[in-house]
Amino acid sequence: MELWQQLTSSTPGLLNTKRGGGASKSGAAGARDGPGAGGAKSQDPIDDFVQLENDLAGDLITAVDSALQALKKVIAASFLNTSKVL
Amino acid sequence: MNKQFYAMTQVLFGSGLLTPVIQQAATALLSGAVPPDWTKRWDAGPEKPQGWLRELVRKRIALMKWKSASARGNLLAEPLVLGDLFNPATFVNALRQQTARQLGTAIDRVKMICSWEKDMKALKAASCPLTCTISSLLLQGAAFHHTLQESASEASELSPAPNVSIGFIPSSGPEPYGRGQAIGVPVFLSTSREDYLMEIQMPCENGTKDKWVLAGVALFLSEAD
Repeated sequence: MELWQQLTSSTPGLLNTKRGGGASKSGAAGARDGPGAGGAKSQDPIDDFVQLENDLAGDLITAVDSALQALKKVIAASFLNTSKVL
Repeated sequence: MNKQFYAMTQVLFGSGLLTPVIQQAATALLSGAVPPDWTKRWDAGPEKPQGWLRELVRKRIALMKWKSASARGNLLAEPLVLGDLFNPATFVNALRQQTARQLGTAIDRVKMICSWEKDMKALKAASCPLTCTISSLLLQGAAFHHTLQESASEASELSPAPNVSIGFIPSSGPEPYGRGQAIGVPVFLSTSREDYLMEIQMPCENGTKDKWVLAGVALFLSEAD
């Protein structure tokens, strides 16, 4: 978890979950709606691919982050309520 | 007193509940494995959790740069590292699709050609409309200096291959290398040779093709961990 903290804090925007942000060069000129994309979709297969691949990376890194945060909470909560604490 | 306050804080702020999903992730991590929920989404990563997490973050950072370059419209202007991608085969297909669209032909009527020269002579001669230069490939089973050559006995098993430019032209277009002057070398995602990506022609001396086939020459996007 410390490693994850180090890795994610080194680069800003890493955990940004905004999908499809920023239209691609051809998308700005002729965007059209399409299935599977959360944001602007271009008519350019390579730009579309980069967009989807970037979204996949964002989704995956967010899922991993959520799982590790949940685990962290559980570990913190595992501390027992002893008579001394009370 | 400080100790007791710390203990109380831990109890008060420990608000997480242990669900089966969290328990499964924790069990996997404690046994030194990547949780199955994560590998379901990306199974081609390193086997150890530390390596897997590092590689995930590295790919994420690289893809943010790919996206910026794509938005500026100059993605294909610089050499690309296909090892940055989760789905490099889909990228090659997107390049094929976009080329076919520009050529006004069907996607199955184009073929891949490549050029190992810096000036992309072969691709220019074939009037290839879209080219992509691939960098950071690793070569195994041979050395490469304009043609395939025997590796030096003290050389490491893997050597960095020079940049190669790929592109698609109509199936009827000319082959950049003559018969017997090049060998089709498989490109795999990693040195485990589990995931095949594509075949790239590498020039070799006339009549040496069989030697390189027997040497198991192959290119890789990355090393297995």
